[in-house]
Amino acid sequence: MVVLILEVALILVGLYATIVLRSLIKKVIGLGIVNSGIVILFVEFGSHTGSRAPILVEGITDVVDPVPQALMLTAIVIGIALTSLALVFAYRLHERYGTLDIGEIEHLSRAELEPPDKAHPDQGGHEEASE
Amino acid sequence: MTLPLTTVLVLPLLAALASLLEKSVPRLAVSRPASLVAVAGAMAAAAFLSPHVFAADFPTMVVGGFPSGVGITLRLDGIALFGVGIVLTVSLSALLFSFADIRFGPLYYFFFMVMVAGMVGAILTTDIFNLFVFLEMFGIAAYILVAWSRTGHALIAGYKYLVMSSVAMAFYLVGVLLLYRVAGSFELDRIAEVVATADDRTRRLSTVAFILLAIGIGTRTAFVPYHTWLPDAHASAPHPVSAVLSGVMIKVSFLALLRLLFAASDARFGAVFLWLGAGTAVAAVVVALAQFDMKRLLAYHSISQMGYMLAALGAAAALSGKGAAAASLMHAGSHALFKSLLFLCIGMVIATSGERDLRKVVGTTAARSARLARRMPIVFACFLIGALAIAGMPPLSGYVSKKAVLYATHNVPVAYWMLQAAGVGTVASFIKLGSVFLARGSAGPSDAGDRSELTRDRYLPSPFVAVALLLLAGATLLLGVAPGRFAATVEALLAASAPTRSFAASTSASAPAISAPYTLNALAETAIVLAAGVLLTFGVRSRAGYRITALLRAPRVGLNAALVLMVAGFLVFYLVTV
Repeated sequence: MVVLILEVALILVGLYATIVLRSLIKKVIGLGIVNSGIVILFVEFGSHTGSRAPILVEGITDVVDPVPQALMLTAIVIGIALTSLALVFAYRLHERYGTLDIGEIEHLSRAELEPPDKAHPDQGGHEEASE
Repeated sequence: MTLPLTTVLVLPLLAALASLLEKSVPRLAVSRPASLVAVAGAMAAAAFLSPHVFAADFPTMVVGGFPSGVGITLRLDGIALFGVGIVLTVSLSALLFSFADIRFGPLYYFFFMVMVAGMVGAILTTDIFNLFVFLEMFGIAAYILVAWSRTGHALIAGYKYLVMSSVAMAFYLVGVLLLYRVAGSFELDRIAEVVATADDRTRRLSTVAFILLAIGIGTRTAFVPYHTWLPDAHASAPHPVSAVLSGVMIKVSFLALLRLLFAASDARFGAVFLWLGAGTAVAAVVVALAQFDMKRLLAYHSISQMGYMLAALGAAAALSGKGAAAASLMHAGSHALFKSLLFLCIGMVIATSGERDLRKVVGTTAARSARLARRMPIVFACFLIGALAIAGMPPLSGYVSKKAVLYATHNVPVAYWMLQAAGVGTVASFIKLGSVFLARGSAGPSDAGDRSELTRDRYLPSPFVAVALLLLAGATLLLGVAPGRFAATVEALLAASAPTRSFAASTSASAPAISAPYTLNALAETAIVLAAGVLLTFGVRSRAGYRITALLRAPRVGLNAALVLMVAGFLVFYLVTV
């Protein structure tokens, strides 16, 4: 029970960071924490069925459920891909706007797209070649 | 039968690899032909398998040769064939359209084909964890493609899309774990069996699990209140990618939602989705009406049309509408075709005029003293077909499928009228959008000329564009002309699907209102909607209307608020259903 509460708490901490904090990087860290929390949740759930490593040789019983572990390997890999991509976005946005504050960036990018009055919306001018 | 099934999934991946090869050896120049061959080949393989599907002898494959139940099962049933069909058709058109833009290099085709493969995989899999893997696979490709132009708003749109769907996927994974605890399996069929015979306590747990899964998938499907990423992402992506995102990507997760709802077989979900759908249809169309950015306008309409599908799906799950499941699939199919068509046509308008803002396009065309309609007649004709279809006008696919959805919800008068009202808003906003082709307008901004020179040569006037547009327009017209065939095919596909057994009552009945919608009554109804739409157009153009729409344009939900909305949405969902 205590373990379960701790796992849920870990996920909630990550969610808090992702939802409430304003820094692009801290949001990514938050996602990482959520991801880790879920990995621990799965692996710990799999361990309810036994206590030994699921290397099936003659005479072994009392093994943990290997399926959640196998799944979490996949989830970790996906998590790495997502984290690196999110960091690339954060880096590029910082390069462009000089800040990591999500509210400020949203404000600036919107002003760029639809200027308050008659000036033309700027979204073609800064485009670079895409590769 | 295993080989053609593998082909459908593996060919796009091979094309992606070939594109990557071109990245390192530029002399090869294989990315375009390989992508084209892969999509066409996958289509051929799916067509080859389709007789088996209709005979309910599903082509099935267990990855890695494990026994069924241990390994991941890929299966092409009726719903999957439908999904693969629309994904490949729209991808083919978008691919052809991409060929016209020389800036798209091998990396673009790499991500594009990974996206196609991911969508195909997500449709074929019967395993909910594997579904997560495929959702993330085409998701990652989509985040990159959304930010492809590397402008500020495209980057922030990509980031927003990534963070929101990652949080959604966290919900999804917790749901997967709960279902594994209940059923001891990730196979959706097995889960459906266990849930159907479960006791009260287990059922409550599985209900929570299904809510978590629905939120996870629902964020990807973008219904209110999980939709906030969509207008930014779909408006910022390159035009052909927008077509795929709006046309089929949200349908892929919608089909997953449909399977999930059938597996949950819980009438309470049906009611929730019915109202959620009707609300989404109306709310999104109101906001769409206020937009001047052409791609944002189309994006909001995608949300609104998802509302139609969701409402019909809800009616099916609540067992209250005859043919409701078929109606939601029909609308999914016809929307996939005409929405991607619209995005490609508007893409051409933006490429030609160099402007995304409706008001400014009118300005630039006036400066060039020729109406867009005359300068690009094929694009205009195709746009007209798409716009009439989304407005639900005969004799196009949109008319048929909208009538089907309305018929499916006619037992619930309030929802029915909400959908009718959304139809009026759709008519009005496409009259507004169509004006870019016709208006002479006043004198344009002085800097418009050089800006459009800048953007004009990006899309070469290419026969590929015409082929892409005519393919989609032709399909839209064909489905509208043969409503009986369309309805019968979709119903046969649904009947030939594994998870719909318990919903036979709501799917198999072939209602005349669906298969033969061209009655005098229905046409008169459409005429009234059209007239109301025209009136609404004048209303929006008036000074008071402009003020109201300005109010609707002003607030933009930020990322943090959107995430809070998502969690709040989960709590509300939970309270309503449990």
